[in-house]
Order: sequence, then structure tokens, then C-alpha cells
Amino acid sequence: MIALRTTARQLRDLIRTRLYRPSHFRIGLQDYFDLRTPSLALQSNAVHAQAAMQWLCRAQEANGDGGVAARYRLSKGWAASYPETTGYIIPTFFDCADLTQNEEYRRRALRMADWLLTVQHENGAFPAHDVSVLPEPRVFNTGQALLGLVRAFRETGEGIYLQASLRAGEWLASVQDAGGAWTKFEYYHRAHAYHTDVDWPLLELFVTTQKNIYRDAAVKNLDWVLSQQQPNGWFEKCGFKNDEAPFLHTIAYTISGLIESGALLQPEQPSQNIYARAALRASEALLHRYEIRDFMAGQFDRNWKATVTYSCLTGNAQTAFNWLRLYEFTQDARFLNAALKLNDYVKSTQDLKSHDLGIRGGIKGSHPLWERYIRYSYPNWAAKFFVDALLLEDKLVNELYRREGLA
Amino acid sequence: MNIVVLCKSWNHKKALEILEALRQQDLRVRGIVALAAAPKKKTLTDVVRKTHERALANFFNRSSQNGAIDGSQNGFDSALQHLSQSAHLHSDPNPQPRLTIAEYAKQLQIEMAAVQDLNGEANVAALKNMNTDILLLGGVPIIRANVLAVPKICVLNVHMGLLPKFRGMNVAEWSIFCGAPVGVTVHQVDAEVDTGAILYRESIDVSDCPSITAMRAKASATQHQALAKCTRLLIEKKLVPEPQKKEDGRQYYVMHDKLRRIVEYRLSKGYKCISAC
Repeated sequence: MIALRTTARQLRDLIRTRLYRPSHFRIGLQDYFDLRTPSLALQSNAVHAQAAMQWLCRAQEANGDGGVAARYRLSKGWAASYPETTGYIIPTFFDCADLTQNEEYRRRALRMADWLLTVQHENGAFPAHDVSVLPEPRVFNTGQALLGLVRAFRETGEGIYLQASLRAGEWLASVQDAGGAWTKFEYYHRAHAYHTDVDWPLLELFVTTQKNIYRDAAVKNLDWVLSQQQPNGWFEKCGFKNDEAPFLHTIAYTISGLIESGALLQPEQPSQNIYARAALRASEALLHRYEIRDFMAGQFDRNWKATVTYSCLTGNAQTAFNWLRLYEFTQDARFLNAALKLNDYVKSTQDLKSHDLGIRGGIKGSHPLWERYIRYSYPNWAAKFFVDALLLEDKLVNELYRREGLA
Repeated sequence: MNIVVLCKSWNHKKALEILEALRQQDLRVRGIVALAAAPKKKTLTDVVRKTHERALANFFNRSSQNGAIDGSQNGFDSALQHLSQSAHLHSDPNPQPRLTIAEYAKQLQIEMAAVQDLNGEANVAALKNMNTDILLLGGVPIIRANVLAVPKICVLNVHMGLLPKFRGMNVAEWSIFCGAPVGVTVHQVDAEVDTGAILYRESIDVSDCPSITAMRAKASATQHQALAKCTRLLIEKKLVPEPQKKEDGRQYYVMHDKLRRIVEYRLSKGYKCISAC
């Protein structure tokens, strides 16, 4: 009976995801046999990052509204634009503009920011989900949109972005629980440790405006998150739901929020900051798990034990970025080393040649693509985190080589 | 004194070199336990992956011969260069016929046992049968507590790095990357990785090693001699174990090629230690 049901599901997936199309079939076949690009045949980071940026540009053009399509689905093509991730894609485009001197990236970043202004709620919040769904306000999504708006203000000095940022920040502070967590306007009405990734944008707003209300809200939540950390570095409530092993994606959000908050609160010595140190403790545990298995699993339990055998590629790219940041702070080269390997892994899954423009250059949610995290799809945030990780890797490795006198 | 060597295969070079170093120290080995070669089943996935790899390699070779691939643009040149370099590094220019461990053991009348699992009950039984006093690890994966508990005196391992600072994998490379001295350490084995009490340490001058391969060859020769020397000193009760604290060192892992490049470069310039270990 179970076998019959599994076969029926596989058949349904086959039809729904149009795996009979040559470009989809090829991906399915490659993933079934795990035919990733061998490490010696990987291209330079610039080639992979450029392909991902071109994919992100196509995702922005997909809906014509200036926002970035949430994902490319093998079943239905491009999804509607997604405010949350469009928010944090903005800094990536500004960074690429600075790096490449290509003004097109800057123009695109500003189009994204302008689109965000059109979907902001009256009260300052930003909607959950993509814009095809009823726009209910959501704390986490507001934080991510805020990140993009603050950056747009810093880049342009335009008051309109600052006003929108202030409204978002005030809304976030107004709906926070007395204990520092956010339970209202959240997934399953639960507090999440990955709200550290809301604290980071709030601190960016504090740095920009010097208004204590934002710093106080952020620190209150960061302290609540620290109270969730276990002696082995694990954070309770770091997943979407409490009754399932968290995805690496949300674990990495939790860690990145702590790292960036630490860097903003104690810029002169981020490695000594208590929040960054909490991130370091969790990262050391994760790094050990990764290295001894030579594989990064997509979900972990509270003993840092992998509960699945697939990879959450978004989480891999985020983790690589986090480890590169920790290397910057601590000069512990083990983090750099592991990040290089993780980046290589994600590179080895990126299709650079597909005729399908929704596939070429994109990063799958899961590897293999039918697994649990964003199955049969290429989410825009995977491509964004991948670009961030590759750019930072290149910067750090080039610095090392330069110091060494290597070309 | 019953000395037993544990190794991961009957054709393992490191174990053979340890046996030879022990012989040079006039130490008689009671037995050798090695992992029995298990026949590997080929799955469809294995066949497809192999074919895929072969097709890629052919593509690179053909394209580079025809000049169809512009290496400077796509990075394939470095891949090809790397492939040919590694082929060169792994080929011995003066191959000597080498004894297998089984042949060596037969010559010296050393008892042998083959087991399916180095952490399994069969290994425990084999070590007990050999009445093991000192167990020497000859390049084996992590050994569990049930096996570690068998020898009456201790389990010894030699590590290609200076403990306690550099634990784990590729530590000779990591020592150079961190600007520290390269060396070997003989230590007792406990349940964790490279954290047992230290018995013996020896630094190695690698300034005459122009590459990682050369450096590893030198360190490898030193470590086998060190293990044999240390075993003798232990039997003569001339060694005092020095316990390690976990916080005194870090565990390192396999080094990525981008960092190995820095190590290769430093070695090619004649590496001298730049910081105290």
C-alpha cells in the first residue's frame, strides 16, 4: 500500500513538475544520480556569481513590477514577487554594483526598493508570502524589507526610504512581547530564535538614525535568543515549527543575525561581543558536524545530529557566508576552509548551461530537488545568499593571496 | 611484551613502514590485525557516476588537445594542469617491488588476523587472543572504547603534527599555514581525536622540502621512527605521559586546495617557522 502510494506520488510529481521536458528531465536525472560538477571542473567564483546574478535579474523581470519573483517552479514557472526576499536582495545588488562598477545593478536595486514602498502596509509592516497571497503583516518579513530600505537610504540619501524604514522599525518595536520575543504576527504565532535576523536590520536602523528605540528592541530580542541557547551551542525554537528538526536555512538565519548584530554593537572588536560569541559557539558545533561527515545535511536536531540525507542549498550558502564572517572576526582559518568547501558544493549543483532560463544560474531549494526544502523550485534567496558567499570568499582569499605575494 | 599493530588493509604502506621501523629498534611484533578486504557491490548509481566522470575527463582532454577550450576563460586549464600534476605526484619515478603486510608478516612469523570491522567484537577477540600489551595504530580510522580497553598497557598512535596545538587532519599543512613548526607526536589514544597523553614530540625541519608531497614524505619517515623509538622507551619505562587539555589545541580538518596553494607556495620558498607553537 505504501509502495503504491509512493509510486502514485512520484507519478503525480512527474506530471506536475513537467519532468518530461528535456531541461527538467536532465536536472531530475542529474539529481537522481547525484551527478554534480566535479570540483576540478568548477568555474571561477566570478562565473558562478555572474550566472546567479543574471538569474536574479530575470527573476526581477518576470513580473514587471520591480520586485523579485519568489522562485522559479518547475511546475508553473516564475512565482509572484516576494517583498521579504526582495528586501534583502537589495544590498546584494548594491554590493555587486560597487564591485563591478555596473550601474545597472544599482538601478535594479532602486527599482526593488521603490516596489517595496508600494507593498508596505499603512502601519509600516510588510506582508508575509509573495504578493499573490492575502497581505497579512509579518514580523520577520518586515525585518528583511527593512534591511533593503535602510541600504537604499544610505546609498541615495532619499528621505522616502528613511520614512518607510522608520515606520517599519516602529511597527516592529510596537508588536514586540514584553519578554523580547515576537509571537504576534508570526509563523504559527510562535517566537523564533531566527528573529535575530530582525534584530540586525533594527540595529542597522539604529546606526543610521541613532534612535535608541530600535537598538533597545533589538537587544531585548537578542537577549531572549541567548536565553534559548543550550550548552552545546544549539538554539531552541530556531525552526519554523517546534515539532520538527529545523532547516539549516533557519539555523543559519539565527547565526547570521547574531554575527551581524555583534558587528554593529561592537564594531571595534566583534569577536568579543556576547552575541557574536554565541554565534561562534553554534558555528563551531555545526562546523565539526559538517567536517566529520564531509557533507552538510539540510535539517538538524538539538544534538546537532543530521536528521536527513539531503542538502538545503540555501542554508549551505548562508552558512558559508556566516563562516566567512567569523573568519574575518576571529582569523580562525578553519571557518574559511569549511566555507570554501561549502561554496564548492553549491557551485557543483548550479546549472550554467540549461536552455531553461529559470534553471540556468539558479540555485535549487534542495539537493536533490525533490527534497523537503522548497521542492522542485529555485528560490531567489538561494541565489542571493550564494552570490553573497562567493563575493566574500573572493575578497578574503584574494586578501590572503595578496599578503602572501601570490598572484 | 606483546606488541600488536592495527592497520586498515593488508597493503597499507604506513603500517608496513611502522613494522620495519619496529624491526630496526629490535622490537618483536606479536601480531597484526587488519581490515579484511570486502568485495564492493557495484550499484547502477556507481556505474552512472563513473561514466559521467569518464565522459567529463574525455571532454576536457579532447577539447584541450583541439584547442577548443580557452583555459584562461573558463578555468579548465588549471583543472587539467592540476590533474596532470597530481598524476605526476602519485607516480613513483623508481618503483620498487614492495612486500605486502601479509608477506612481511609471514617472513618474520608474525601472527595475523583479518577482521571485517576494526571496532567490532572480532577485533576485540583477536587482540585478546594475541594477549596484547601495547597496540600501535597504523593509520586507521577512529577506534572505539571497546577496542581501546583491550591492551594491558596502552594504545599508541603517531600524529603528523605537534600536539596539543594541531589535532585532526592535514595538520602538517595547517602548521605551515599558521606559521608554526612542523613535527610529529606520539600519544596515547583515548576516546576523542588526538587528545590522549603525549609521550614524545619531535620537530622537523622542512626548509628543504619544496612541496607538500616532499614535506609529507619527510614527516612520514620521521613519524614511523618516532613511534618505534617511543615504543622502546615506553617498554624501558623511560617516558612520562604528559596529559593534554582540550582547550590547548584545535581540531583541524582536510584543507581546501585554495589554502593548500599558500602552503605549497611557502614550501617552495623554503619554509621557516615564523611563530612559536
